[in-house]
Amino acid sequence: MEHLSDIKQLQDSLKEKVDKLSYLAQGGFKAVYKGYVHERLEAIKVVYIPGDIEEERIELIGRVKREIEALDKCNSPEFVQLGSLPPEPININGIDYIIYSEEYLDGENLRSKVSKNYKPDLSELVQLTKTLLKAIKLLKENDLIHRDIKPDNAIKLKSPERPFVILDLGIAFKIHGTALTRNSMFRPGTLPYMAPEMFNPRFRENLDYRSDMYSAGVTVYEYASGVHPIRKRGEDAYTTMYRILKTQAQPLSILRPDLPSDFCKIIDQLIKKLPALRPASIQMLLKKVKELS
Amino acid sequence: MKLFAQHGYGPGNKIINGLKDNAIDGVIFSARYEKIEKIPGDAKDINSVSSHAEILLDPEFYACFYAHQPDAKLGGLNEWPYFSTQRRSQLESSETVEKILADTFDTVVDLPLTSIIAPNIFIPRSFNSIEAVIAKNFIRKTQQLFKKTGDKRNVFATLAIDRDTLLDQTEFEAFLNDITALDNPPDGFYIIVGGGITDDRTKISRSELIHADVIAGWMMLNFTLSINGFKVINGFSDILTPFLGCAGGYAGATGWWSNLRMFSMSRYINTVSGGRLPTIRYLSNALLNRITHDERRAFVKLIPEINNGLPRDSDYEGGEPERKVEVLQSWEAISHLNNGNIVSDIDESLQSLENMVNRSERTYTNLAGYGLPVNREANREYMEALMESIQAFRKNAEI
Repeated sequence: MEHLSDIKQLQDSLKEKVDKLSYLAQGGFKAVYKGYVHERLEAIKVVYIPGDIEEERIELIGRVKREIEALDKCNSPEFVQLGSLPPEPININGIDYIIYSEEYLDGENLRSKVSKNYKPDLSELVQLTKTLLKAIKLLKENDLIHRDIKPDNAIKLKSPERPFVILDLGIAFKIHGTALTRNSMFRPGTLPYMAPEMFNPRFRENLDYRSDMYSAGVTVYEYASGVHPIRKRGEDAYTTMYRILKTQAQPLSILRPDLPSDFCKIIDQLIKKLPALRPASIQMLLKKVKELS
Repeated sequence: MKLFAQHGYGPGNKIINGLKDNAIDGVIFSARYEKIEKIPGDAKDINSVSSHAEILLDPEFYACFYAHQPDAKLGGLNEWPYFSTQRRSQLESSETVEKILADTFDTVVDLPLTSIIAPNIFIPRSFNSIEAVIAKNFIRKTQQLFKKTGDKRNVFATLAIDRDTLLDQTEFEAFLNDITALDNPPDGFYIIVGGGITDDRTKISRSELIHADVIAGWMMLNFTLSINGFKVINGFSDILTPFLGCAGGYAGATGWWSNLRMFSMSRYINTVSGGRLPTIRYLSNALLNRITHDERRAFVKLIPEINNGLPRDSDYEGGEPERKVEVLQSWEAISHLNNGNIVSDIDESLQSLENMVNRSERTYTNLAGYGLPVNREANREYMEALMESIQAFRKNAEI
């Protein structure tokens, strides 16, 4: 993150609110720490707000606001919960930040597990698929599209009641909402997990929850097989984009012949190029997936 | 896959006999030729021979733009309370669309139908058109208005389109994306694909529908709708029925006249008629085509597999059969093709279709080898179109 604040200065700024602050991770404009808020361990989010470009500043403040609103609306076990520290601006050494907290999740993200060649069994994959589908259903009911579902944003917990949690609604898209990004050519999200329709010049007009279904399918496929269904390692962004638009994924059953073909077919269908080819009824999909467990 | 009788002029006992043969699974009554007061009695007769038969009624509302024309051929359509002359501009109003849907449901809901087909208009050229917007509005409101009746039967939205709409892939895909993600969708779709709009029906050649992109598009409609949980009933599908079934279709339909085998909006326009009745033909599954009795008699001596080997073949053994038998043989043949090709795995089904077309191509080649007049060039194009349609469908459906 640009202008990552000094942890000591950050702790000093938060001394009335947060105890025992320690660094966890960073990415983009956001850094994540853990600390105790009212004696409860929480994840402290610190978002850098640039001061020099007004448009960028407005966009980032808008994103934080939208993420918090989205998390508030999607109050369910499938999503990370808001913490007890409400969003507030702080200034450290003349640099603006917004801080807020989320629940602290003691788990490991799927990217980390994939990198260790972890091979999940059917039961775990069914749980992950159910979590993702329920999350997308809830987002849909609130006219939201996550736009950044990927292994990095799914955490595996140790709890059997709550096996997976979805993170980061920072770039969630509000259907019928005002665009936060002024550059219409900008595609928010993570390229290898973007649905093909995101590359349509008029994607904002036609985008619906099925682009999240695509990203969810790619995530489950990669978690199951250890291999991204479309992207090849080391290739440039343009090649990946071309593949997203043109290349069909290898059927999951080839990489995981031990899994039931019905499960593999569901995942294969979610990553079809044309949205109409991805089953639109989440209820129907959940029923099919439950029957497999 | 189920096969229904596409009802039309002069049904006689054909439907009852088709059900007795187990060659059909139900009927789609034509509002143009079936009077409202006749349906209960006909349904009773149908149930007496097949308690599981499906009984539907096509309200044929898509003929509404023709109602004001002096030479319109609407049969009894004007007697149905929901049917009225409409201008396109009137249907741009949601209130009008809702009224038509409500009036239709009020009319048909008391009839002994197993499922209800909702009214809609015909999309003549492109999915990027005012008509397509109106048609989508009908589809979007179908379930909402039907639920108000309190009826528990399945309701099917009508999607009546010209074959040209399937040729613009970009607009077609955008339309598919729209209708597969409706908030309150119907239980299924009743799809009609037509050729020609106002021309004389006799000018519509078979190649208008037997065109690779048209068949592939029709299959794609069945596939996308079925994977999204919809039941798809295809009207006027005739010999294409097994293709649509392999793509996920629930049912197809065909009837006893050529205008019940292939749809055209020109059926509602008065054209010069008269002359001789068409020759009685035999639907040969080996040729995927209909041939005259004389052709059959000549071909079968050299290539016995021209015969389907099914019970209705016997009606043709003693000479040209009665006209009422022709459709029974057609239903039997198509039903047999459905059963022989459609399995739950789509890859296997498509492979089976390809084998069927290849076998047919070989049969034509064999006939030509014997010097028999089978219009080799026309039939080669016909076979190519069928084979290309399967390949195009595989590509479009990402199979």
